[in-house]
Amino acid sequence: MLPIDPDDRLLRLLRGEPLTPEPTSDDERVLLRLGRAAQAAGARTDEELPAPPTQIWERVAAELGLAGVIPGPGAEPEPDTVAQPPATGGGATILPLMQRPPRPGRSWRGLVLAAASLVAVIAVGAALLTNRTGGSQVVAEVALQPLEGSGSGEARLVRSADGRTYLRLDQQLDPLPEGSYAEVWLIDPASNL
Amino acid sequence: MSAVGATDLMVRRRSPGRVHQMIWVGYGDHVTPPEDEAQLTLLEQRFAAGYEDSLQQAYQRFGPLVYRLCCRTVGEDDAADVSQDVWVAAWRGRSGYHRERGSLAGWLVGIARFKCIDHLRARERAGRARAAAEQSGAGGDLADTTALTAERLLLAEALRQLDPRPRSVLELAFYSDATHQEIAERTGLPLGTVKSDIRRGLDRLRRYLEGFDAADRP
Repeated sequence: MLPIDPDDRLLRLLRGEPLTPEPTSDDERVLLRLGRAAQAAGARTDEELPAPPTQIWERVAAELGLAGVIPGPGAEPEPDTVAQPPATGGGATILPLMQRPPRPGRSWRGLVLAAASLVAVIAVGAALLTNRTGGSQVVAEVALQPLEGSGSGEARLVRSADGRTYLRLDQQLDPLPEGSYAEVWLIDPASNL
Repeated sequence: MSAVGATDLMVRRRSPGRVHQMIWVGYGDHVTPPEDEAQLTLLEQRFAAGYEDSLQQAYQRFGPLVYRLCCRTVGEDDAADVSQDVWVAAWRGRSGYHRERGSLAGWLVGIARFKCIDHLRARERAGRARAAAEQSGAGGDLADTTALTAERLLLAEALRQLDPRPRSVLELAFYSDATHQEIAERTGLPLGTVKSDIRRGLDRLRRYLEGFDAADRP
């Protein structure tokens, strides 16, 4: 018997077709399981799930005693505040905070402050710091908390002499692999923004 | 640990003199994660970290999936009650969720599976199992049937969460008899792209199953 091409074997696994030899590795067993679930699910994966009754969330929030119960999923969400793609100006990468209305089908309410290439952050940061130390005033500051990995940092709201406000990030973290980057998320748990 | 420097970002404050709590997250394996994937990652991290608002975000995103499983297994009459139990148990047991062990969606459906089984067994003890099975379509072994239903719904949800291109490619892999080359021809994509879409898509689907398996009985 001719050996089965690995690609063909993969597709057979996904389609639940007979295989010789039978799947023995963990990887193949998982693929077989995915295939069986997919076959059972059928091809109509674009079928929208019905929204659960609104009282479920209200009862969950009440039972858990969640502070400041937020309107249920059927309610109109408040506008998100999310970071826009980096804009370039004056040789520096500037990440303005913008508000925009929620997009249909998206329920995310978190505030994404900035997502930037770590390399860009390093390169741009030093230049900006140099330019803004004179006449600047720190009006608020907070420690950064890594959710994964290790590291530390601080964020400061700085008002420059010309009256504009900037967020200054000072961070230390383990070296990231080449091509990777760090993201910074600004979240206020109290207001959910 | 090495210092990596500092930067200033232009910011429009929402309230004078106030800096919101900051969290920063590092990604090590890709340069630009799709926005939705990044949002889902943050949701999983915040849920595990215990932010209350993340529960509602998870509910908004996966509530229909959990509710559908409850409807399919315990029937519509009891689905709301069981769904409520699922979310309450998930939040109280959130310390048991570890995103490195699988997706939050899978973990939630894993908990829902246990709650549905418990509910069905309670009804069985009450002598109403036959009616329940007829109503929900569930028969045979409760645990196996419920797990199968859960996996099926979870897989459909996982496929729905994929971006359109890999989703189309993966659906052809699952539901057609096309070879990789034929999938490439049908979609107009390079063969290498088809193969990588399938592999990466399967990795994401696998994470759903891993989350499902990682859920402990609440």
